[in-house]
Amino acid sequence: MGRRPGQTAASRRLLPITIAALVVLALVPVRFMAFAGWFADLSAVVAAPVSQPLRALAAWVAPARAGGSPPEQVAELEQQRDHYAALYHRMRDENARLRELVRQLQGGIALNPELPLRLYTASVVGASSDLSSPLLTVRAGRRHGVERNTVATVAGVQLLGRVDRAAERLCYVRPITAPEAGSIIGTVMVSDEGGLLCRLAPVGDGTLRGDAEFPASPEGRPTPEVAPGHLVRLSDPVWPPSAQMLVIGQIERVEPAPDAPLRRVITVRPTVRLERVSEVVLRILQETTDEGGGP
Amino acid sequence: MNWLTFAIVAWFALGLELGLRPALRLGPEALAPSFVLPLAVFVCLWAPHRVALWACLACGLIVDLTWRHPISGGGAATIVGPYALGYLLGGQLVLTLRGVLIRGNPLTMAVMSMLAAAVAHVVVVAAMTVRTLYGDPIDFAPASELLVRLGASAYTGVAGLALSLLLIPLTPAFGFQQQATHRRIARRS
Repeated sequence: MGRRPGQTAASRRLLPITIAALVVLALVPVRFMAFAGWFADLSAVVAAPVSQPLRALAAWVAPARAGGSPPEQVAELEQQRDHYAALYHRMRDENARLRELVRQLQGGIALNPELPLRLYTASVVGASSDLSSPLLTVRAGRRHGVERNTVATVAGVQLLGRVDRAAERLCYVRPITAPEAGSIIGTVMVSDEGGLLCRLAPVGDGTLRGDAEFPASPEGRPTPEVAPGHLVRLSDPVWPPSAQMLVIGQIERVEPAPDAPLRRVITVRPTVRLERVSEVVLRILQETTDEGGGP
Repeated sequence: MNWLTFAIVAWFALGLELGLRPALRLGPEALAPSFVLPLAVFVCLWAPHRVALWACLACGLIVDLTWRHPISGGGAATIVGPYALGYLLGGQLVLTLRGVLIRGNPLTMAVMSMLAAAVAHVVVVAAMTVRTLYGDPIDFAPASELLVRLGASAYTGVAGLALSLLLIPLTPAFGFQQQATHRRIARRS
């Protein structure tokens, strides 16, 4: 059962043709590579049954939270505490914002109520195969209501990042610590009443770094001091309201800014190692279905 | 070669690559090993020339498809080609050298995985550098990437050593010998 000569010649030609096609594809601008996204989603779906258990195993061996996981009940209570703390801060900020708005408009506008939020827990099925890409592949997609920019969290209120792209069954989340994630505005919680604004940019080693701005303090009142251990919460108008006051991380280091005496440069590290998480919570905005119609 | 066995092992290697990499990251540069490349090296050590090159292309292609590359201004793109070509050249290096290698030795897999990974990463960095030269909106710093990737190549050698302990006993399942026998019989007839 030998191969026919024509068939052999065709198979010999196929390899150089394939190589030539790959050279062209390797150099063609990314705007022409959209078609590859479908194949990429397919390969991620195919790899998921193996990569997901291995990732869970890796997360068990090397947990995302330093020092190992606390007992289940303690973890649950901590999660609830963090959730309500975030809620309290968000409501307080929202209250202040609305008061300011009412004052400015002298009352009388109807504000849209906040859209209801649905929390969807999904497992991380893998990371990128290349070192330079920090995107996490999560097993939840458009069919679950996930869209681009859907906010992802870990362990309740630790901010993970935003969805970069949502496929039918999978989505790709860009962690806030990814170098290309861009800067993020947070509030250093120096007290329960509030704190100082800071603009943080990812460093590339899993931390974020930036200036903490000290407000001008009235005569006689000490300026609040930023210290390692303080929590930093999201306070960035670019992010959705439902994500405000989620935890960005904890201050690891405080250094004086060389050029501005009233500023401190802070280094913030998320409370978990974001690249190692095996499960995320997606905060999906639910669309209201009732358009005012009666029963 | 038994392509079904190859596909199953490649699937498992891809799972290792995507699942274990974050846990195996080392240092601030996040060096991580590859698990798919040692498989390509293993096939190149044993399979006929053309079959080995096709296997390298297949391995490189699946790595390309699972690499979401960040682009400037947000978003990410899948770029087909850099790893496929890189694995092809890395595989060609192994094919060129395999006559003087002890194929059944795990250390051979380790060293060849390291060298092939270095070649593959040089090709990837070259392809991405060309893209940055003509203004493709990708976030890529060639110099630092090359250094990190060469470090990762050494780490891939360690993964190659570990994988060789699994792959070498699996050699009969790949059917390399069977194919060579078929070819001899065909040549005689």
